[in-house]
Amino acid sequence: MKRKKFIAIAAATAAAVPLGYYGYQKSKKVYNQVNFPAMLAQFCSAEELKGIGSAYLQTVPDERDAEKLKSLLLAGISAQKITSSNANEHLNKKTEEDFLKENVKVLNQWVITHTEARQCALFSLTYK
Amino acid sequence: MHIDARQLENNTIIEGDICIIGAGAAGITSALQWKNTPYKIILLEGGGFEYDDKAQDLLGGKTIGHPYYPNRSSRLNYFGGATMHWGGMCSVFDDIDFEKRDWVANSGWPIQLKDIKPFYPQAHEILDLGVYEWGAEYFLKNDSSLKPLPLDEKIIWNKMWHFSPPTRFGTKYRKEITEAANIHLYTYAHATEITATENVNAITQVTVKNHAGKTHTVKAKYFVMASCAIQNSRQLLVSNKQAPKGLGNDNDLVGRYFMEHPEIQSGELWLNEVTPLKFYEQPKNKVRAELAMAPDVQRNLKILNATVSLMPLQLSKKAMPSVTIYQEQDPRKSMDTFIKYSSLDKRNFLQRTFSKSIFGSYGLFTRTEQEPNPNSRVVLSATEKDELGVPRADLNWQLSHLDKKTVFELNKLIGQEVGRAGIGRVKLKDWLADDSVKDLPEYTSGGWHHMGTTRMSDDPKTGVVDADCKVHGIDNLFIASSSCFTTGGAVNPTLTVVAISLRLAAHLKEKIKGSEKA
Ligand SMILES: Cc1cc2nc3c(=O)[nH]c(=O)nc-3n(C[C@H](O)[C@H](O)[C@H](O)COP(=O)(O)OP(=O)(O)OC[C@H]3O[C@@H](n4cnc5c(N)ncnc54)[C@H](O)[C@@H]3O)c2cc1C
Repeated sequence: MKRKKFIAIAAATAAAVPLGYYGYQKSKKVYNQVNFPAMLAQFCSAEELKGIGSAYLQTVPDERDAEKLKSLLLAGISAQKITSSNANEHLNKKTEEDFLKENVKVLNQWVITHTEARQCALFSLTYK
Repeated sequence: MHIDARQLENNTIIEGDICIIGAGAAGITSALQWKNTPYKIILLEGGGFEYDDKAQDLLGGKTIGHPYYPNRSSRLNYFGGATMHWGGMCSVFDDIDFEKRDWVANSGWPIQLKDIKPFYPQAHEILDLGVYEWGAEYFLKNDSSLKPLPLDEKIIWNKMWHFSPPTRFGTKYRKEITEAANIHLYTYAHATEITATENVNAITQVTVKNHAGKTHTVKAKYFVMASCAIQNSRQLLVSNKQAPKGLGNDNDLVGRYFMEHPEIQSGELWLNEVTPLKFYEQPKNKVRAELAMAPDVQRNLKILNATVSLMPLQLSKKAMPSVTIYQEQDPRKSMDTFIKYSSLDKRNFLQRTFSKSIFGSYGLFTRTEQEPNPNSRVVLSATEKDELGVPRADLNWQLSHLDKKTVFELNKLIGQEVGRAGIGRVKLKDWLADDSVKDLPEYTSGGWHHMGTTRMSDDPKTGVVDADCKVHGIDNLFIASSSCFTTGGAVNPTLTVVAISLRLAAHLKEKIKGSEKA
């Protein structure tokens, strides 16, 4: 089941992890958090998420860079203060704001926010 | 009183005050408004009291445009008309439906909703629709098990629908009609020609024929056409002795602007919590809500009116487009296939099988207004005549880009509002999300809603009938039908057809009273 698979991924990436403390491993976890559109992932398989990400990158080729996407997604939180929980909170808020501002796209048939599209793009570049 | 026109002596002259052509929802409603009055009403019905294949064949004709149901089976040629097959889904038009909208070509009625509204309560009763309430709040207050989606009502609101049992006019009103002393129902009286005076400003008589080889003449002071959009326009077009282009057709409008409600599965709603949406998907309640767009949203996006209904996704995935399963020439066979393959008869089985897990995802089904299009039209066949010698009516149903744009924008908007409410996400159908596809797909169905063809306008250059449903230029010819609709709104037509017929009857009563005083 698509949903089950992603609930499992969500569980694996949900822990709040202070970035500076855990080093590379933890930074990867935050990466996973950033590249993971939690609501959408309840309904989409990994392949679908990647497909959405690739579709987004086709429309914005400039953003085909994981670091750039990450910094665009996390813009507004100071680098030292990033944890996976506040990254998550930040992205949820951004997603909400996008919906409020009608910053919405249709990618691979899904009606999603710009933030979610970028998360999928990051996912397509980083998820193995 | 009932008379079988096959049993009359050939060339009988039938005379009355008002002649109504067609005994479906509109004709029966119209006739009953005159019950127990001093006026003699002649109600002409092309068929009998039961289905008759020969009579049915008189409705045959080709469909030459967007794929559609066969003309022969999309209406019924017997007492009760298409209500002997209809689904019974009813809702009311919105104010915006009557407005001139500069982004909708040929929109704008000469009347407003407030002119029809006073007739909705009686129409509601005629169609056995239960309590006369149209606000969602009423139903939510009275049944705590109904839960609306938490969407912003200024954008997406809950439009209510009532389900008629469905009322079969031929069954329910037969006794009342046949027992009314002043209503003379003639069955097997298929109108084949309408004759006007030499200067075409009044109708003198209608010719009726049947398969028994009988021809009769009906004379009256007023004539009301009530044979629905395809047959009304056909009757006007074939009546071309005094007016070479057909009656009411000086401006080449009769038959044009045929409209339907394009209906199609348009997307999927995925909810993050399992939520039974009984409020939206339970016809058993006799009422249900659909997701509708606020008028300002329609104005801002420059789109048509449309609504979306919800059905558990597993059910909706099994549903086949009506247009692919209702293709038999015999309407009874078409209906059997429709019931067999549509989702309806699988509902109970699937609901049992999937039990609660069915309620996490829903199919979105859009019904949209279509943009009035002059090329969407009924034309007379150049080659084919029916058995009574009348040219057949061919249907060329055409859609336009705005129809697809509307379906796209509405479903995207629902996606946006569902996302904003934090309850899930929406996935559009592939053809809908593809912006290189400009039109609705071939398998877009209609709701068997025939509208337009004798549209209403104050100006004879843009409409066949005026605001009182009188044919422009002809003093005593009126039309009670969805053929008068200038635009089709987003909802099924019959409630409004009945309301418009009541309004016409009230107008005629005033007119007759006025002329008697004079
Ligand atoms: C399968 C199906 C499902 C439907 N579901 C719905 C629904 O859920 N909701 C809704 O609102 N609408 C629905 N409709 C449409 C609804 O049936 C019509 O809107 C309604 O019947 C229109 O009423 P009417 O009297 O104008 O036309 P009709 O009901 O078509 O009646 C016309 C009458 O005129 C007679 N006639 C035709 N030609 C002649 C002639 N030359 N001379 C004499 N008599 C003639 C016919 O025999 C018939 O009795 C459905 C229709 C079908 C077929």
